[in-house]
Amino acid sequence: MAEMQGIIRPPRVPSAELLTDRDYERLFRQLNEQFKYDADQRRVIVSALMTVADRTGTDISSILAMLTDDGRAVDQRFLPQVSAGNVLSLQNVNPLVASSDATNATISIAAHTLQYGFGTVAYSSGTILGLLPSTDYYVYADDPNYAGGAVTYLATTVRPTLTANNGRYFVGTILTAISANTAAIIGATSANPIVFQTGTSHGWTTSDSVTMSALPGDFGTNLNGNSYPITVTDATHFSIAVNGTAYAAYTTGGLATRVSTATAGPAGGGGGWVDDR
Amino acid sequence: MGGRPMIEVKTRRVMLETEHDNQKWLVFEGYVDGVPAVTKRTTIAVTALVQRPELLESAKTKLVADVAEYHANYLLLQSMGNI
Repeated sequence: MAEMQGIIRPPRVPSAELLTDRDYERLFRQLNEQFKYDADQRRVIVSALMTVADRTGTDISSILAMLTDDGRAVDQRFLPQVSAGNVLSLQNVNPLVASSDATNATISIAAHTLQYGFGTVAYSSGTILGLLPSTDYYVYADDPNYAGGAVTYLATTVRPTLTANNGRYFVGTILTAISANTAAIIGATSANPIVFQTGTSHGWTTSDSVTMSALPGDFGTNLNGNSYPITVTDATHFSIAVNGTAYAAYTTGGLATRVSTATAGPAGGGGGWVDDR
Repeated sequence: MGGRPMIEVKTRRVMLETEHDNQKWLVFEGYVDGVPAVTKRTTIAVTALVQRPELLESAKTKLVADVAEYHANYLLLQSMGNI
């Protein structure tokens, strides 16, 4: 019997005539032969769909509607749940670190791996520059095909953005560090504690950490290069818990730089749970 | 004459899906031809560039340096048979 391929078309008949029994018989024979020809493909597909339909009570057309043309689920309702606290994936490390200079914050995303139920996806490192200091950011990337690699990391302060795209991977949240600004020192007391005077308003807060540098004499010998938590006295004065009574009198010079510490937030994950912040 | 051939780290702009995002973010990718494993992207907020235009060149310089470092590490691991 000749192989049958291609689309089965209805028999051609003039519009004024009706299809005969013979026409129908020929049409159905062609259909049956087509199924036989493609038995190892289409019969398996039809059988599988029939099995799913019988098991779930969902008709075949509804099942097919849940898939895109490239076989991907239309949305997450078609996905299995990984039994790990309802989390769909987990990162091997928390990849987020933030730092700030005097004006802007930077979020660095380290290379990391996501563990899914089907396997792992590895992501390359990345950087986001020009952000605001002291701000909560949600970091994400779009990767609809689970390809991994070098993705574009973005940051938003708007939580719903994380689920605004079906292919969105939520990396995690992070509070960017406070800005790191430097004040010139114009005075220091040989006292306990040492009180420093800055040339301009420092804008700092008690418990901030500052690094001393370029201080003269005994102040420099003992304090340069070290960081200390400060107690703010007023806009141009602060003290550190160091006994300076033995120091020779301050002369001139010196800098104090507020330390901008990197702060890592809670991890995200491909399944995405948004920490409450 | 010995020595390792110079590896050229290239950069290109990556366009985002929407024009809105392209107005908001400038994304650059640093890469080495034929070695996708060392590719890295840097995202820069456009608002920061308006205030600090020098941020663009410094960011690109760092991106190139990072990719060059990744590539050197990649070659080392490859020579050790770990890749």
